[in-house]
Amino acid sequence: MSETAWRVVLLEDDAQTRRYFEDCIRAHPQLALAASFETLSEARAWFGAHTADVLLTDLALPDGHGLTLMRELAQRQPACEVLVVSVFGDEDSVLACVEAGAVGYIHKDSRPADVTQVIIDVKHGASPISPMIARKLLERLRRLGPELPQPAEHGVVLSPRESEVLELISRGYAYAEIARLKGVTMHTVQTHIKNLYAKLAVHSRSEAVFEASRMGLLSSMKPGA
Amino acid sequence: MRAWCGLLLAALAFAQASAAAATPAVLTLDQAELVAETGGPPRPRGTIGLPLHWDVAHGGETGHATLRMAFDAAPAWQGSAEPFAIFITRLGSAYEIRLNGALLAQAGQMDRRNDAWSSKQPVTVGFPASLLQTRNVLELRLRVDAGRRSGLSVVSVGPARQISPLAARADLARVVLPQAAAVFSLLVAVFCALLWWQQRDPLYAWAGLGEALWAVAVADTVIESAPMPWPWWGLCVLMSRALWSWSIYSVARQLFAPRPRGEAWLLGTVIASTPLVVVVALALRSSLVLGFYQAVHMLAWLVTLISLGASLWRQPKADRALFLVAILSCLVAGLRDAVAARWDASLYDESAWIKYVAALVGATVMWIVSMRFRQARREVQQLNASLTMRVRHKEAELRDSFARLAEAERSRAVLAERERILRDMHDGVGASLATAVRQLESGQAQAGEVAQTLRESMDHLKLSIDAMSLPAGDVNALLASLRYRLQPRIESAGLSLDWQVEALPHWQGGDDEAMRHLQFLLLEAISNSLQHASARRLTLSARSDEGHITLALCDDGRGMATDAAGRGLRSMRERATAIGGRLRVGPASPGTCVELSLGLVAKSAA
Repeated sequence: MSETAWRVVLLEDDAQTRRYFEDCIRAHPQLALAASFETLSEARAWFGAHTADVLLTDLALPDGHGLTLMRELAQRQPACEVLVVSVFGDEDSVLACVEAGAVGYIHKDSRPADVTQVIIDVKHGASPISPMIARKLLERLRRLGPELPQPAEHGVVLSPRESEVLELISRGYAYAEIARLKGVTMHTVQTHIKNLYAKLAVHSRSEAVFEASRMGLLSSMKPGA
Repeated sequence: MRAWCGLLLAALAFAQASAAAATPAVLTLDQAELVAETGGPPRPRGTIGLPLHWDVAHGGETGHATLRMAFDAAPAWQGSAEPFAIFITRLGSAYEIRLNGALLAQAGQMDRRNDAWSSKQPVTVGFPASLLQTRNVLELRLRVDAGRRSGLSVVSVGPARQISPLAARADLARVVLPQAAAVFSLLVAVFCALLWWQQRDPLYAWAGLGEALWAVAVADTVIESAPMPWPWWGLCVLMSRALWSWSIYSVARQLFAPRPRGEAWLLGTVIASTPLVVVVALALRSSLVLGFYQAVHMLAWLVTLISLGASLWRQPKADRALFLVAILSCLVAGLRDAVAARWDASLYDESAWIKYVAALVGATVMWIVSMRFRQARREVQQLNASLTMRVRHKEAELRDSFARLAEAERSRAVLAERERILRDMHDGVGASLATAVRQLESGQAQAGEVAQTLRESMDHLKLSIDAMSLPAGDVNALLASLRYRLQPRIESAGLSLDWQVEALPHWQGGDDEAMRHLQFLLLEAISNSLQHASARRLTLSARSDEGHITLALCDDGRGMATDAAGRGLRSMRERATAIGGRLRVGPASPGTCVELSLGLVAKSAA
């Protein structure tokens, strides 16, 4: 598809898992392993001087939490897609990552083909989502929506089509099935999800900014610091 | 300075002049010629000094007395045309007042012994100056009754202008103040009666009765024309005083409780003997009996007071002390009044002290009432405070016990959750891990087989984790999770999955336990199709109608004939029964269909 391979960075403290993912990435012609780290500080230092297309990161690291790096990248390198490496893909931790700017997750026990497929899909505009996360999202967005007086600024507005897609996902339907049921392309369905993730991340950031300004932190902060 | 001295001298001169003019203006007549008629012809008794206290001077005698006072016109009166007046502090019982033969005033019936009239109030009689001569004779004819304080006080004659201050002063002491005392007693009586009506405290009953009786006794010193004929009115007043005395003792008995029986006997006997004493006095026509009775009464009170005083000494209290002082004051005043009334003629025109002093008793009662109210109020406040404290304490206790209950509920829930997870581990991931270990240890299994078993273990584990956050009764969520977790396995087994899942209503019977059973049941059904059916296509449909949710899993394989499928089937039936569902397993064309029907409302563990 693309002339140059996608540059992938890996952050994973478990050596075996790291090696497995490294092998998966190296083996794929469209992917290139840009760097691979064991600790959060190494990865942060590297991103201070380099850029990448995709970051695969574990959450619990020996010297911190993967969320820290996700937030930094969401600010400085929005083009870099973040995928979380998760054993279970349980909805609470995944949602927290989505709010921090991640576009999805990869199961630790995925087969090599699945690992690389997810990365390629993400770069083509997909966002991995589980029915449980879809249900959680629906719940959260329904709760958020009407409460906020200015949904355009602070809330997340769900379009009817997005809502339908989420509902079908939560009922277990696959992207392809949804595309068929709704008479749209699969890419459209994926875009809906990605947009939704982006809205959620923006919302969580604006909420953080709102909180910060409310606590008087903003005036003392230097932009871009 | 000189001007000031002049002014001072002028003032002195004026004072002297007015004193010289005032002194002779009012004549005081303190001697009279007495002619007495007591059951015989009139007998001159010569010149006597006033006041005349008949009971003291002629105790027991009854009849008429004529008192004649001659006086010369004072020099200051010469040529005066202003009205004059005669002022008499006390006289009685019936009287006629004549000046130079002219009748100026009369009251009561002269010829009717012991009529209702007895002059209780000071008498002021006005007359024109023209009636005066150089030598004048003032004649007072009295009807004198034994024991009714008959007699005549010192007489004042002069211009009405100068008499009126004397009259006003006497009026205040003898009429206005006793009236006020009577009204005060009545008010206290009414107040105590109301208190007794509300609280039934004998103290208030006795105090109210005593004050009411005392109001009668005090009113008698002002009422000139008795509402009853003599001696009944006299008896009435005497009984009022006697019962007042008993009421006061009864109040004291409440305040100083407990009292020795002898005390009540002593006073009670004296007071109960009052009517008898009156009868004896009337029969003997002697006021000595009454005097003796009074002395004994006061002696009894003296003894009682000493006894009460001893109690006070042992147990001092403000209300006791005040009441004791009030009674003591009454006793002293009573003693003095008795002397004035019966033994000391010079005290004839003096007013009885006790009618003022007895107001102390009423005042003390009011003070006691106010103290009791203050005490009651303080107690109510203390009670309120302690109630508030207790309520607060109870609230804290309730909070604690709620917290304990919540904690217990939490630990119970945690325990239940732990049990559930353990069971899940045992049936699911534990069982398939054990299989993997067996496969590895037997050395006969292919690496692919072991990997497959381990992947099943992972699936079990992930399904268990999903189950923890599945909303109770949400069958859609359960199915979606199942598909999501099993999709890779289904795909790698080379099957295609046809997903036909409607939006399902809430499953009432779907609590945590039931959701897990349903999850395992469907997992078993899918595993059967994957492992034993050699199918190409799997269809899962879910729909709701007529109060049921119907789930159907159909494959296009060769049916299930193997033993392993049979074991799986038994486990599925057990789970279906546990969640009150109906399981049908039957052949389809081609393949096999497993259909589970769940009641939407009732949860029956048949």
